[in-house]
Amino acid sequence: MTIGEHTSVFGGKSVVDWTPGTPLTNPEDTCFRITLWYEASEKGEEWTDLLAKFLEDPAAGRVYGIVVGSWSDMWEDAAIPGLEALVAARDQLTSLKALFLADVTFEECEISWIQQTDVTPLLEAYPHLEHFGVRGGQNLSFGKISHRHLKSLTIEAGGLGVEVVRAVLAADFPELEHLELWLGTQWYGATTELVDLAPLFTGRLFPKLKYLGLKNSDLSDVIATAIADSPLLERLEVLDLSMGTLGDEGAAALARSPAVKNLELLDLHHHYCSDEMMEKLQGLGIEVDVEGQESGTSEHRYVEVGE
Amino acid sequence: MTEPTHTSHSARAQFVSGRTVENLIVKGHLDLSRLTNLETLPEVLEADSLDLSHCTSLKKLPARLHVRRLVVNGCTALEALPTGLKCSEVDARNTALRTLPADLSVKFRLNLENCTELVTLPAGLKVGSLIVRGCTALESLPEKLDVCFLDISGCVKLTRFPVSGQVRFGHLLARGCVQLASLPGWLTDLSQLDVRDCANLTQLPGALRVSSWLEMAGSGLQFLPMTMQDVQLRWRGVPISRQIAFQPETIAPQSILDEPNAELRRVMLERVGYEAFLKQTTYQVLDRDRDAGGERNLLRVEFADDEPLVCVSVFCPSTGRQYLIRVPPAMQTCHQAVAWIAGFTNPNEYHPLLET
Repeated sequence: MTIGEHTSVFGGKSVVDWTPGTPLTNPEDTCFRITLWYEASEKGEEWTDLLAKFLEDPAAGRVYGIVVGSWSDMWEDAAIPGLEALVAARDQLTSLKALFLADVTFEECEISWIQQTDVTPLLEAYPHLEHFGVRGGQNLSFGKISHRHLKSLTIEAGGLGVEVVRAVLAADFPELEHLELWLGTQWYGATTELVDLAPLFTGRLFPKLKYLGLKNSDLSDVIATAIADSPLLERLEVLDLSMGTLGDEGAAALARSPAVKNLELLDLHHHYCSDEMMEKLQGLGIEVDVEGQESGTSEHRYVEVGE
Repeated sequence: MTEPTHTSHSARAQFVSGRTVENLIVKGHLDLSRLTNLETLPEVLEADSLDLSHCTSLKKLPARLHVRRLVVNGCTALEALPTGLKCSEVDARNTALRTLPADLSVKFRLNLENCTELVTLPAGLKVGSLIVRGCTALESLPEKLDVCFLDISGCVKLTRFPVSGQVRFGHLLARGCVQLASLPGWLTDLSQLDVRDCANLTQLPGALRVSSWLEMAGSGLQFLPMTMQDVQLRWRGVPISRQIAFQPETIAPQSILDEPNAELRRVMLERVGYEAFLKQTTYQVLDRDRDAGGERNLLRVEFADDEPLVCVSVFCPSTGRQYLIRVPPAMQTCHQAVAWIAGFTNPNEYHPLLET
């Protein structure tokens, strides 16, 4: 499986494709996706040309969100020019609350090929940003960040380096409610081990966290087992271990945990649990998503999005 | 924009055929790159973006030039940009620009890499990313400079920063700014700082915070301000500890031998110094002889999963000191090693008459 469709909602608002030359409508409630299409790229246009045109709209200062789409040869050209231009545009995008970097499908660029960069300058330049998301783990990095307003952070990767995970867990995000990490698989660069996630499970980080997604991981079983008995689980509303390699072992630990019953949603879709275990999970008395049952022994399990 | 007079393709064809073009208005991107005979352009030129890269005869740009992105990279005869120019990006690498118009307005990126004639920049220059890498004649940066990303690497004449200015959120890349003795006190927040080979830079501003990393190989830094106690340190791209950076003399030789990461092991060796390392380590003498300066030794230390360290110790007649120089691991004699240092792959061809 890969990512076949563009994001339709981000930061709680709908995402629409922006067409150069058309005025921005309803900017306060819209995320605009700015994509450099292949044809324009072939004619010599660059993603930053599009952003320059976007900023010429008098409503740019009221725009809620920007979703950065494809920027031509994303497997060769890093996100750096686009990122630097967005940082330079901070004086004009004065209402920006939501920013997503690299909303691209596998047809535009496989997730593991996207050349990311150090995204810290974006978070520093937009101190009022509330929703930040990024796709692609290659060369992605975060520095030491303190951000007073960030409510949701989403990092989607086929394989996420442990340095990124450590930087996120070391960050100061007092308002963070939604943390979504696609850890990915070791075959595409995932290097996180269970011990690296331990600070999270203590429950001492991110006092307002309601949603935790440790998704698309080939560590799903051990993560589920560790989190089932963790103090963190008691204050979550949604636990999302979907898209990974969860089997009966991890699922059983969750099913045994009294704290699981306080969740509003347990999302486990794309998993390797048995029929009996699925039945047990569905009997927990909370909403449990066990769609997408896969089959495979523990040695032959795959995350949903790798390459 | 007024009605287009040409398509990108037809405009280029006109210039290729040598015809005079008046009032050139193109919708979209205009590619006039590599027209090496092109000397002048029409007085009015409008396009979304304009690529004039490697138009090596081009001396002047139109007075009324309206483009969002301007590329004049490699226009080696171009000495000036027109006044009143307003762009989102200007790529003027490898040009003969000496100054820039005082009213130049560039929003995102102004790239002046390798403009070796460039001596000044306009006061109050505000742009997202400013790249003056390799501008070897540039002696100062303008007052009230306001940028997010600044690359001054290789600006070997640059001695100081302006009294007031801003570099915020992004990076300051100052690799090889050998004359730079200090960074300004107004520098407070960066994501990355590269001061590699800034040998005269001995300290950083007291209020500076760097969120991602500090590259410090070959710099004169002896300590860090309190604000930077937990920044990631790098030595030629390799993340290193505080101990390796600032107290290399306390590194035990055994910890170098035990270090599993080959990159890090090499940095540790470099920081400790070959002499200090060999003094405290078991080594094998591969060869010993005498030359005019005195005794020479070829020494070897084995590493578990890396090529061995092979060094030749020589006596320098001019300084009167003993030096230890690392040579390729396959070297077997002192003579072969010394010949390699002098640039001879065949030691039989190396017969110095006199060493100075």
